Amino acid sequence: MNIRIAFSSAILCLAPTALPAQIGVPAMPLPDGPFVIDTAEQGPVRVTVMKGLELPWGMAFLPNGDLLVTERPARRLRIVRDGVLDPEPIAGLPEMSGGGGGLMSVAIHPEFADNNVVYVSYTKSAAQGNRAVGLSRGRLEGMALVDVHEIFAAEEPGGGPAPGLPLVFGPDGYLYFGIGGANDEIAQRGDSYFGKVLRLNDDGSVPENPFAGREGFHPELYTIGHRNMVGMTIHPETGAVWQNENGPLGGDEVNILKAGANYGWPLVSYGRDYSGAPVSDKRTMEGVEDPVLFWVPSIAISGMTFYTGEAFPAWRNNLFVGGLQFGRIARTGQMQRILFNESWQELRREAFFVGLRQRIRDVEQGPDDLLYVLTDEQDGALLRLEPADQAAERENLESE
Amino acid sequence: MKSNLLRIAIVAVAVTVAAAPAAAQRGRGIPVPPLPAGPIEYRTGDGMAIRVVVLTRGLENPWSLAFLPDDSILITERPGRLRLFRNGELSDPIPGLPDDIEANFISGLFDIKLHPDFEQNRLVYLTYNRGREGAGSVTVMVRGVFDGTTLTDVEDVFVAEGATSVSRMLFGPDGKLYMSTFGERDEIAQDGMNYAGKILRLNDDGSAPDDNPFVGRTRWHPEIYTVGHRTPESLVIHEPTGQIWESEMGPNGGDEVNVIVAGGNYGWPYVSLGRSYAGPFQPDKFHREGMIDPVVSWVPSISATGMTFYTGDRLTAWNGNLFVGGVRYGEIPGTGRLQRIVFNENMEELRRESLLEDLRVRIRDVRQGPDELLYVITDETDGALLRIEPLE
Repeated sequence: MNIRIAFSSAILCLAPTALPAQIGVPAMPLPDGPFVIDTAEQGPVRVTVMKGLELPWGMAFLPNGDLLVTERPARRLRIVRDGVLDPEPIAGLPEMSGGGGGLMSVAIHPEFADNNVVYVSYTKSAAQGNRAVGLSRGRLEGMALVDVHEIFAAEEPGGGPAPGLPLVFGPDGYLYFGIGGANDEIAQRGDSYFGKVLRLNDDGSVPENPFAGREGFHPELYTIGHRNMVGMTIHPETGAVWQNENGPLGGDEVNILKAGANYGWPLVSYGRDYSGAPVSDKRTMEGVEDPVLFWVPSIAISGMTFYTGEAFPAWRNNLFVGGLQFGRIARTGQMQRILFNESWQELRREAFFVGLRQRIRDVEQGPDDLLYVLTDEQDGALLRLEPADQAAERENLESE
Repeated sequence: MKSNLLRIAIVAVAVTVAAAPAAAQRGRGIPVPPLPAGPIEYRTGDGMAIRVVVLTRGLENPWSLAFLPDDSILITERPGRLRLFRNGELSDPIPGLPDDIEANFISGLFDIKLHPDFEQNRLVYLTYNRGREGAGSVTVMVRGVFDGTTLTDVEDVFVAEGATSVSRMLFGPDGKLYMSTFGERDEIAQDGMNYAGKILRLNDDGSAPDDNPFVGRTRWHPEIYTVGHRTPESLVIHEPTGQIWESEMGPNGGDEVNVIVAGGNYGWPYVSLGRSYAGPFQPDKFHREGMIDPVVSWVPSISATGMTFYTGDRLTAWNGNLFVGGVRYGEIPGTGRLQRIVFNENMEELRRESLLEDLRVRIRDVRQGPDELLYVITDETDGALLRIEPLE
């Protein structure tokens, strides 16, 4: 039965939770669904809920429609077939650390149909005072990864929150690998991998990159000056890599990656430090690429994708981004949709799922042209969005 | 609790039924459900549990309100009416308003303020958009005597030649009368001979004080206090410092809260965090030397409207917070909200919470009442006056 989420105060009263000590609105359970939400331009949308994921982080569709999902601290790779989660995780993952990090992204090789090659990014155990990340590839055979090889690893001094580690293949056949976790000026240093996007060949070797041969710069670097990275996706028309990153208090950004460019963190930002003080008195400077989109306040931006399918005609070529929390108030996660003009300049921005109070971690388009969304919760879920057809809608109203 | 659940379940069904026809049109906005009969309860971000009470409906696009000494409330309606809310009842329109109020999509009757000596002189100030045969419309400020039922002796205080549409007022701690004007078009907000896109500083009779920042400057109007404003929507006092804070609607992104200083240039139309509605940024993008950056920004816009610092004790956890109304988020109709901004001791932002989002109504103004509760008006054709109370 469909339940229409009215975002009414019913939700508040149903939630038995006592007032939390931390700053945030009370938690509430995600409905088992399906439910219908009203949206602008596309009208009512039916949301189906598949629960049973523990703090999922990333996902990737296989050509046959199966979906790979990562569970971050549990360090499990799961598979969903026809909307059903296989209870068994996929075996054969490389060694990795858990805690605040764990298994992050999963991506498939552009020729997966022929070679079954899958990539995963993750945090690794490191020496005291250090932190480490890794990237491995392997072949997916049944319920196991085989021939797994770590094709990139980095360990550096430093700590702090675990870096986001997004992965995407460009139409140029290169693998773009973002390493976030740069809360300070390390993002500007060429001898650190943190706060950078790397560009690799599919086997992990280094192509002719923009900083090649430059003193004090790692050869894998493609762009610098990023803070914490979460989402990366390919623009449907230009083929450019669009990347996003968390600002602090304000200053979440979506950037278009250009070879060798500097995206300015922490020299410029629209955000404030968590203390309230400005990060910089500059919002822009010579030699720094401005973002194409930014958020003030932050939505704690996460995974993103362009919608290119036919199922939601009003949403074609719109960008969808996840958000973990709004304005530094816990449990205000949402998904947002950005509509552009023909020059890819923003026209409007719509928020979804504000009433659900779930951290939205990732959004992807399925081979069925529907949208799939991950909630970053201990009892996390995969949401499927499809247009609520008018007949079903009428039927539903009558039955209510 | 049980009866609450029942009531709310009924509301949810009503929402479903009402939303369907609007949704079927697949318009650009999100269908707005009918306002619940209330009260509506929320548990909000800093542990404040609140109840929102609908005090009255039937206000047509209300724009501003003013508390009278007897705690009744004068409310302006943009189409050109003034109503009195007293003892739980909304009055018929108050007679005596000017007959040349020109109402259109965003224009009409705007702000209302009481003279600081209202108890003695009964003077009420109004700003509105005046229609003039053959001469175009203009933003004007008038004042009249309000005896409790009727407005009389209405006279012009100031005619802001060149300006049209929205305007706010404030009686400052210095006893002067501040008036904001709308300055979106071209570069009028930077033109010292045009009253549009400015904050003006006046004596209570509309004359220019001698100590205004541009007095004596060639080709500058002496009433001008600050320049470079797009759409000022609110002027309030930050009591601990005595500063004037202004809220301003940006275009697509770039709503602002500014701290107003004499002679300041706030950058429009050269500088904004927002894009024009067509998509491109303003010519100087985000900053220009000599122009003052906002202290709070919004990207995307909430279409920021009236605001108030909460200074009371009844909504304990909210003391010192700034509340700002919004009529629309990200250029999507049906997404109005109230926002609450928490600052550190340097008045730098720490966090921002959206409230009443689920109601999807356009929030036009928010005020602290003499009872230290918050009062909110919704800018809808069947607009409402809401009161936010602690839930205990």
